[in-house]
Amino acid sequence: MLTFIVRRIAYSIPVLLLASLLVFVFVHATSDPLAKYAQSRDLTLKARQGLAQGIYQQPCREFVTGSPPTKAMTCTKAPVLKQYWYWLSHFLKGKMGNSFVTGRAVSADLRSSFGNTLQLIIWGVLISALLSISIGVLSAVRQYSLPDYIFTGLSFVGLSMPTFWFGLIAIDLFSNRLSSLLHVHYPIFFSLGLHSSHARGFFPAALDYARHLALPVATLTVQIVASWSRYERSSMLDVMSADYIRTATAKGLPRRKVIFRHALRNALIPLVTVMALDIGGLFGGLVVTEQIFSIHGMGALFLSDLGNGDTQALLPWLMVTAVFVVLFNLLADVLYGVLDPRIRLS
Amino acid sequence: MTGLRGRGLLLSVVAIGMVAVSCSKSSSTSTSPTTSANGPTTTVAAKQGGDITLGAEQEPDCMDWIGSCAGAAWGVYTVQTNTMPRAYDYTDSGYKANSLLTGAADLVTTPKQVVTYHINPAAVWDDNSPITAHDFKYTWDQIAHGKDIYDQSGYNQIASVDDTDPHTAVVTFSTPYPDWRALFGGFYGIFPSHLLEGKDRDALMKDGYSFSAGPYKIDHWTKGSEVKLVPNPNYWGKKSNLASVTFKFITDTAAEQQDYKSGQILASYPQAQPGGEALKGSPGTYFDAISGLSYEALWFNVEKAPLDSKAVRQALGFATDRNAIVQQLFAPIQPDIKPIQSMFTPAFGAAYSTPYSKYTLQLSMVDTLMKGDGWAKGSDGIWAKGGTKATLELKTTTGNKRRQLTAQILQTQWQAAGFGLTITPEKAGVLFGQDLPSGNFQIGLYAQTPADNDPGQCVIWCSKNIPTQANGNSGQNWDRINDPNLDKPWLDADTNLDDNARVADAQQGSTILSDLVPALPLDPFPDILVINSDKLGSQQGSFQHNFAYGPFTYLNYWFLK
Repeated sequence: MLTFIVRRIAYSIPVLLLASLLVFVFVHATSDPLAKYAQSRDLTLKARQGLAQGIYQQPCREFVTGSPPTKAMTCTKAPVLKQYWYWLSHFLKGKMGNSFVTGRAVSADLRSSFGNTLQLIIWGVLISALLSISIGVLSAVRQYSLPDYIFTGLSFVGLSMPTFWFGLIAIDLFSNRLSSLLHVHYPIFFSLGLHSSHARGFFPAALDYARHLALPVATLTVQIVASWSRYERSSMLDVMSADYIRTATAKGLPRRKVIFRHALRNALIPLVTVMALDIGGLFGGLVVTEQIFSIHGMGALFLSDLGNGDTQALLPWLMVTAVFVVLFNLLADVLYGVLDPRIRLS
Repeated sequence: MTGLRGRGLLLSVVAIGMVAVSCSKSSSTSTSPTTSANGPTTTVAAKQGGDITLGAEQEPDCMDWIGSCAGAAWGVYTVQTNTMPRAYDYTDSGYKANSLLTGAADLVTTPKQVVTYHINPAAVWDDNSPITAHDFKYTWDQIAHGKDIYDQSGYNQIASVDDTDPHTAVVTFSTPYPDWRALFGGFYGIFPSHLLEGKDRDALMKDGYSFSAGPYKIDHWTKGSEVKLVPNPNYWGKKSNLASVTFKFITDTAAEQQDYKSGQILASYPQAQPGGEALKGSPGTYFDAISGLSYEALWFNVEKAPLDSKAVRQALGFATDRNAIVQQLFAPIQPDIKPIQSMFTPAFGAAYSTPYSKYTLQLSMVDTLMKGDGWAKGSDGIWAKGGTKATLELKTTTGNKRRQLTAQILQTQWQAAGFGLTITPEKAGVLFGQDLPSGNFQIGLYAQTPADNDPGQCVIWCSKNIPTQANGNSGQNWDRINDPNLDKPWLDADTNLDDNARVADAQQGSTILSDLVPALPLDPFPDILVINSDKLGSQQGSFQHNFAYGPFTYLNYWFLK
């Protein structure tokens, strides 16, 4: 197993290097450092003067020093590969530099955003896993029953609903209309960030946190459950038709024991793999959910940096999310071996 | 992670209690005689206390207001205007001396411009240190001589600041600067020398600062999420009625509207975009839209054929139904909106005149002008001359609904008048950083967002400001209009210290512009206030606009009902 893990990590290194080169080249080829000035309200005569003078050009030196952009320091003259090496060698040492736009340490912004996204992922994945497995098992065990049809139908609805639409509908229903229905003057569920600034004390803060989490987690969960429950149902159906399940049933084992002890464990293997891969993608993939619910997570950070053309902040973001995708791919492989002893990792 | 687990244990318990949540507010009442910067106001009884949450469409990049990172207007709207002292306040009726001064500053115009500010002895920082003339000097020094400064205009024309008397700042200019009231205030403010001098100002301020000389001070700034203001107990002026004000950063327009409807935010200040009327008519909502200082226009490159012909530019003026454009864009938001008739908006007051009102849709005038200039319509209905068709290219920024719609309407209108039009959306950096300065465009569609109602526009019309190597390509006369008759009034407006003479210059300049047509003014942007008037009131009687600092500059007059 250890050999396998070491080898997989070794395989990941060139993948990550290639990813780093590609993101660097593409980001520099396509980014617009001045895009934030597209908003006319910010585009004062004075700002334009600054633009024309080139004071917002991309600087090179600031990868390390963190100084704000200066006219004299432009990266546009250096060859791309030289810039790439300069950036990568510092990134590998953990020096991500400061944002071109805010002047803040990129690593600090990433940490803060990562924490928020992680909260969504943890709750979303936990709830999704519980619901998906329950629905998948129920649908498989009672194949072609009314509950199966209902869950199958709902899965398709969940898969086909755009996240932004579901999120806004959820806000309207559970934040606006539910409060009106219950005649309360404050939303039962919040749609703005992860906490209120006025909640003090552990219990009120926890309650406030739950009320903030409910809708974004529900939005995140709907599509995940729709997808994972289909995997689980399919996998469970395969296992339930296997000989060893028939044998266990023939031996007179209780049905509950057959399903949960013998069938479910094996049926989880494909789902766990899919889950691991999906979770890796979630670290950078909650753009819409975070935007709608004004949560400053990785997705929101990405949008903001992209809008600002802040390549200094974009590059570490892309690399961190790439690392997570690779990491969870590795985890999927390892879990596959752990869950199924028949698979020999050599 | 541990904290999350701990919180998770409570989830099932707390869910039961969700419906029972209520908000408690303190309820003492005060009647405050108000002296609004906007002039006389109604005295309204106000409850004291209460926490409110407001929406902010953008987050400031940093809070070092003079640094190159501090360009975002929302930093001014939310924090700067409520924490930084100003010598003069911009109001929608012009500049007025702030209570930081004992009265209007003394202006001497000859032999050199000298402005003397008399500082109110009651004016103090939140640590009770007096605001002194040395703060003025420090502010000037930082802006005029600092590195990575957002904009040094005006400050770089100051020769010296005399701070001999701590209560009197004497500012001597090297060259006349008519917009001097915008200095030591505006989007910058005055900086506390006793806290910052000799230190790294940018490092101390960029992530938020603890000092204040406004009605509020920063409680915390959680990046990406919110900035919270609490009252400054030592503010010498009108104190806050509210216990705290939290601005939540909501960058998604649809989400902001939902957050408003659900009561999670009590006010928003949305940008003028088609569809911005969504909250108009919402129960208990004060929705007010009036034309502000900003406006959109078509900008013609007069060096590019066929726009090098005045007749063609005038013909385009008569080919454009500007009223139809403005109505389609903003009538649902502001029913009484009209196209502007000069390169100012009515919010500029006396500087606004109406010389462009002659340009209404008149296809007969188009025909007369074009034929008189030697053009003839081809079989496709497009004007042509010497084998060249009058097909124009309009460049604008990508991803802006308002501009997309404007360009599409123009395409239809001009087609009917015999002009072809192609639309090229560009990234802002390419348009403003490259194509406009270098003259690589025929027509630009973009906005002017003046910082105040100063009538000086030499920067965009004077021939000396045509981008050239001589001026480091930094001139803003991107239309490249070069006319001595036009230079005269705009140059004078930039140097004359007589306000009335400057207004006359601006009107004369506007009249000449309407003849030369280097640009065609279109729509003034509605300045939109959306406020939950069931829950919020203002001691000013009604909620006030401020086209420069935003409506939250009057937060200290707001109260929770």
